[in-house]
Amino acid sequence: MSDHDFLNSIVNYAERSLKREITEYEREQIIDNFNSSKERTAYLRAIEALDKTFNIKVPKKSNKIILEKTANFDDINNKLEAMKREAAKWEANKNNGRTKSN
Amino acid sequence: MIDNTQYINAFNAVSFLLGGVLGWILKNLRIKAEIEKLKLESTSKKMDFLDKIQEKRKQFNSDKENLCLIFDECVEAMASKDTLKAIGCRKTMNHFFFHSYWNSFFEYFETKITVKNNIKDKMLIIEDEVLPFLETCQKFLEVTNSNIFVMHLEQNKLAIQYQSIKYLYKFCLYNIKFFNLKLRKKVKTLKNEIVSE
Repeated sequence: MSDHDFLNSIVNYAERSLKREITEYEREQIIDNFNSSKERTAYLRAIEALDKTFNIKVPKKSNKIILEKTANFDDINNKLEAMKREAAKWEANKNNGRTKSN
Repeated sequence: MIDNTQYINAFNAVSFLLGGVLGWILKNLRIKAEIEKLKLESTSKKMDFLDKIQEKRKQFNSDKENLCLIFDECVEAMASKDTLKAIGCRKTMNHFFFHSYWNSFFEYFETKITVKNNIKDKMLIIEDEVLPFLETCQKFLEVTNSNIFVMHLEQNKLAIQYQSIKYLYKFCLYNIKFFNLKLRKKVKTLKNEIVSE
């Protein structure tokens, strides 16, 4: 997994846990926390970064699987979540428009 | 006194024994060679199957990436509230999902279960491939049948028939141990959500 994919998988995992998109500032914070971590492996550093930035507790036992999987399947699921959010926004917009016209 | 007949008999007995031992050695060597040959054949068949699995996985991943690109376009169209573009994207997305992504998943899954057919492998396939696929199907239906498309843009609702996922569903239920209630429940819930959508 490349560095870029690895970072994406951490971001995906955070977005999935928080059920929202993360901001650019939060993304930078993850990278800062990841780089400043003293843990032995990249996975443990990623877990610490998630914990420090968002207080997300990743089960250590399944860390590898979770982070590796997020790079594959959660990408598609994140995109579907993004579509769901846009659909909800658009619908709310339409409903507001209708209420105003009434 | 030992006469010639006894010599001949002893010689015959020794020859017979030697012949037997030699025959046994030759037979064993031949069996060993046959086993090696079979091992080689089986390894080469396994390699062929692994190649096939890799090929199918590549196709599936490539379809997944393409589907993600279509999703990106849909998100863009929806964010810009472009009705025509959104309807077009939904059509492309549905078509691609059921004609490419769906088929490539089943081809990959069927190839994989042909080779990886012990219970441990089957459980891994269920957890790593089947369940994420069913989750994606459930989310996909939720999105494509969302109110904005069905009510506001008056598009037809999409449905997946039970027959289409029956094999996956049964595969999961037959292979997940009866005491693994959590996983069995997850599969049943996903099936109900997909079929009733």
